[in-house]
Amino acid sequence: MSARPPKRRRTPSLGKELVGLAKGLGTTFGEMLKPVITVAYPEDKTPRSERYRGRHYLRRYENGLERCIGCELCAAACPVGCILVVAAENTEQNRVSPGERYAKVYEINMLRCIFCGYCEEACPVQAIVLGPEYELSDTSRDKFIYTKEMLLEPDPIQLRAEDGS
Amino acid sequence: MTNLYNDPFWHWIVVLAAMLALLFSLVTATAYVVFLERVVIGHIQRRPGPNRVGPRGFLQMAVDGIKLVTKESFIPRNVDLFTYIAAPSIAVLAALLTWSVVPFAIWFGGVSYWIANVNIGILVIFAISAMNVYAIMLGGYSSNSKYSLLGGLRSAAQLISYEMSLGLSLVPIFIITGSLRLQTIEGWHGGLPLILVAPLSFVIYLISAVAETNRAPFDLPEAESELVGGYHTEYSGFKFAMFYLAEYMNITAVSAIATVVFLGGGSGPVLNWVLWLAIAVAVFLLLLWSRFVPPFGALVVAAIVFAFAGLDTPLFWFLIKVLAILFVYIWLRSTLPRLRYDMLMQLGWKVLLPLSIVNVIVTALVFVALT
Amino acid sequence: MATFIFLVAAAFCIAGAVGIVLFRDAIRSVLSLVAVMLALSSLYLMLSAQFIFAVQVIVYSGAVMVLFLFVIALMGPVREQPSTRLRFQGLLAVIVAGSFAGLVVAMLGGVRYHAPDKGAVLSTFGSVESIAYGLFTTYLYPFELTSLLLLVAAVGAIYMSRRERP
Repeated sequence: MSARPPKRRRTPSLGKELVGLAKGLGTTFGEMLKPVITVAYPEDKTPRSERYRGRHYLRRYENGLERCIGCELCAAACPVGCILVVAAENTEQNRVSPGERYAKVYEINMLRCIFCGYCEEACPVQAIVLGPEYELSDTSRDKFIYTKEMLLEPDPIQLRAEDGS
Repeated sequence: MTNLYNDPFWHWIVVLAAMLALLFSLVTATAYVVFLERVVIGHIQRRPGPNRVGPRGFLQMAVDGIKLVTKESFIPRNVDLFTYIAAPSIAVLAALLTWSVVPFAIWFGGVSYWIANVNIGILVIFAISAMNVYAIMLGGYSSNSKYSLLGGLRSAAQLISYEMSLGLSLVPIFIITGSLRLQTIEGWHGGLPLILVAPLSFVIYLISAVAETNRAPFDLPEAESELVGGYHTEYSGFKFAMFYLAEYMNITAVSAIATVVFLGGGSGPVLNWVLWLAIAVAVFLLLLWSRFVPPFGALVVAAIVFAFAGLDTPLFWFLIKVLAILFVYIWLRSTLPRLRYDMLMQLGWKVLLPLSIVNVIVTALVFVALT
Repeated sequence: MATFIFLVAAAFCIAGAVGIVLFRDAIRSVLSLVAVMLALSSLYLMLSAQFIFAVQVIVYSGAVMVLFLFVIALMGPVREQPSTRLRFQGLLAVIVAGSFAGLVVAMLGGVRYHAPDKGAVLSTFGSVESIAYGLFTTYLYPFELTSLLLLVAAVGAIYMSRRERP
């Protein structure tokens, strides 16, 4: 390999440099006059898509029964294993869901969850869905174990009763 | 109204009061120069800048000051304690002393009062700014850290190199005006801006002044992305605040000197109160249109502008010109990338110094030819 | 007032001079020298030599001493070792200092103080204008020769410190 001749250094021309400087200064001055494009976050928020995958919800039927049947398919599908489901039998006295069984314990560890949405896909009864809420900060690790009470939608019948009263 | 300078007692009272007022307004103004910088740079980067504390973030600097003062002032192990503490003190002292000769005149009963009206004003400024090198050198040396030491040497070399072109850039002004007294230079031909006569001097002065105050694009002490900080790497809390304050005071002082020397200082059209009202209304409408401050804030600013009608015009024009130069500083900072150290030295020694010497010779020749 | 300022400046001067000799730390010695320079400059100012005052601060405290500081900062915190001193140095120092002090005392007796000349215009004495007038008229040739000498020295220093180019 033959040594290449050294590149001739570009001779700086004062005129070009000055034009460049003026261009740069003009650009920054123009940008200053344009409106601000940042979002004042806690007050204003950027729009989220309809299918945004945020915090989970456990849904109910119209009549107030829980959709979850305790099948544990979501826990099996979860790639990080953040879902814990402990199922229990429905009885005549205590009917929680329309199926045979219901979820007695349903916990999601939000620190582990990667919000992939596999649980939503695995669920045969569309009981668990990912909602639009994304502000999930808290002060302690324990508070990130979301229990069934926190995840469950409010009972529509109860809500209607409260509205009526 | 008699001239209060003639009475020895009142002379001291006036000078002391002026010094205290200047000290207070300088520290406050310095804080708001920082605020101005953050807001302007914010808008150039199309973000609003600080806007959380107080209306439009106007109290941000007070909060920052409280934070810096109450923060733990950490002293690293094995520092040279005396010089470690002396360095930031020298920085603030030099920055404050520079202001003593700036003709920051307050007109009162037809007589202008300044702190010092000295025969060798500009030489005094150079003498004081020479003291700045000590703050940087000692700060870097005493910190017992190789990064601080190298940063201090780097910045001191930069200061010494650019001091020459800074000094030489003003020599044509001395030739033209025939005086070193800042007040005489300011009032040359009734306040004719000298930039019209010596534009090259102004350009050299501005560039050297940027380098002299360690500002972007020559801000090697703050190049934390490329170099481990500079002479103030090991400083924190109140001592760091002193370096910071001194830096911004120097910037303001350098702008004030540029205003006095090149832009005619406080000279400008003398306005009657109708024109003041017009200016105040214009400011009010401009602020409303820009929606930068709420309507009430715009009213307050317009009222302050109108208050100058009752005060004096020179101070108003002086402040406007200083603000304009400060804006250029901030504008440059947000536009130009930082220079590499060898390029910095090349610019200083191979471009600015020969240019300023040629400038001196040409000005002298033209001056001799004309007179 | 003037006497008071003189006494303070003189005290700083002497204290600094003593400090230069006594400090073991090189950087302290340099700082003492700076203090001496600054005190001297204020003495010049009191003699209404404004220009000399400014030049003293700019050149001596601003440039020369900073170069000293550069060298010391680059060397690192080197302390003078007591063992490097000569054995008979103390005795020698006492003899030399004593004879110098005797010389000064003997000279002080012959000094005659007198008021400034009646003809001297104190308002322009020591101002930039009068010094410039002197430099460019009466003392033009010595001034130019001195600057030539300095130029030769600077060029010579650059030549000697220059490395041989291959």
